[in-house]
Amino acid sequence: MVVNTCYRFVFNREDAEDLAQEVFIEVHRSLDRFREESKLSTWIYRIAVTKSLDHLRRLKRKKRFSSLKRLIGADDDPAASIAAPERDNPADALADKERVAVLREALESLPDSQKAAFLLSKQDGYGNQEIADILQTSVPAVESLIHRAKKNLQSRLQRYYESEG
Amino acid sequence: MKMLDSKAPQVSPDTDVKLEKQPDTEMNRRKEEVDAQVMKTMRILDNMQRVEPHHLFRARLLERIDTEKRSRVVTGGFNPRLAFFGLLLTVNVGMGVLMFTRQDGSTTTAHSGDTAEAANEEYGSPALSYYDQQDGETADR
Repeated sequence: MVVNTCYRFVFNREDAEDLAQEVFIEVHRSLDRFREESKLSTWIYRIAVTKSLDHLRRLKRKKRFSSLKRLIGADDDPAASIAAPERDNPADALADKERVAVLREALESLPDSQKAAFLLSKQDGYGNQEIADILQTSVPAVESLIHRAKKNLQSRLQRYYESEG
Repeated sequence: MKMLDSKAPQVSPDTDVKLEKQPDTEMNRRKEEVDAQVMKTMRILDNMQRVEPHHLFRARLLERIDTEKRSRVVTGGFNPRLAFFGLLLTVNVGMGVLMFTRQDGSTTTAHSGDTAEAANEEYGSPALSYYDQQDGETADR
């Protein structure tokens, strides 16, 4: 479940596994500091969300740096592995990959709180109450975050596809 | 002479309406296409398959935890970050002390100037101007 939570954020299986390992190591390190104010699972998922958001922020900084490297011709071709469904037709597979890249770009533009609430809501096993516990907020706040995230994503994707056409 | 038909060829009202509707239809079609693309992209998250961790995931995790435990034992709880901040603090305090002592040095120089002036006043009195008088007499001769 932790691996899948991280996977929703990073869209990359290897990164998700690495992040999940870091989560469990952090849990192991900080277990004596766990104050039992929430369920153990909630605490673990909270760490998973924090680590995933930190990873995305690091990737963003790396991207800025690598675009600078590309400008000066020092780029070493970072391979962005994207989770795309398997397709027999290469053209379809490429289209799927591009669609995933567009979605990732749109998700990156969301504030962390909206991103976290929206991505957690898309995963099985997370009701609004669980998401509120993980994000340490209220259920109405979570509903508002999810609603705003959906609106922002839709408008961003609309702008993208309108400019494509 | 055949007169030109004064009646200009008239467009039927139906064609007029059809021409007006075409840009609207085109726009609506385009909007529907965009909406379809947006929905298809958003559905990626709903259709994302669950991933199963690698079969060595647990083994790798236990190995990392073991390595961390061992390194903590070896370093005896030494925290490199804390040590680095301690070093920075020491350097900053040292610099501060150095600057403070330098300031003391420059005030000592000012004091010595005052002392020289005081000495000049004391030893520059007419009673001690013997050598000046002697020099003056020799010059007259």
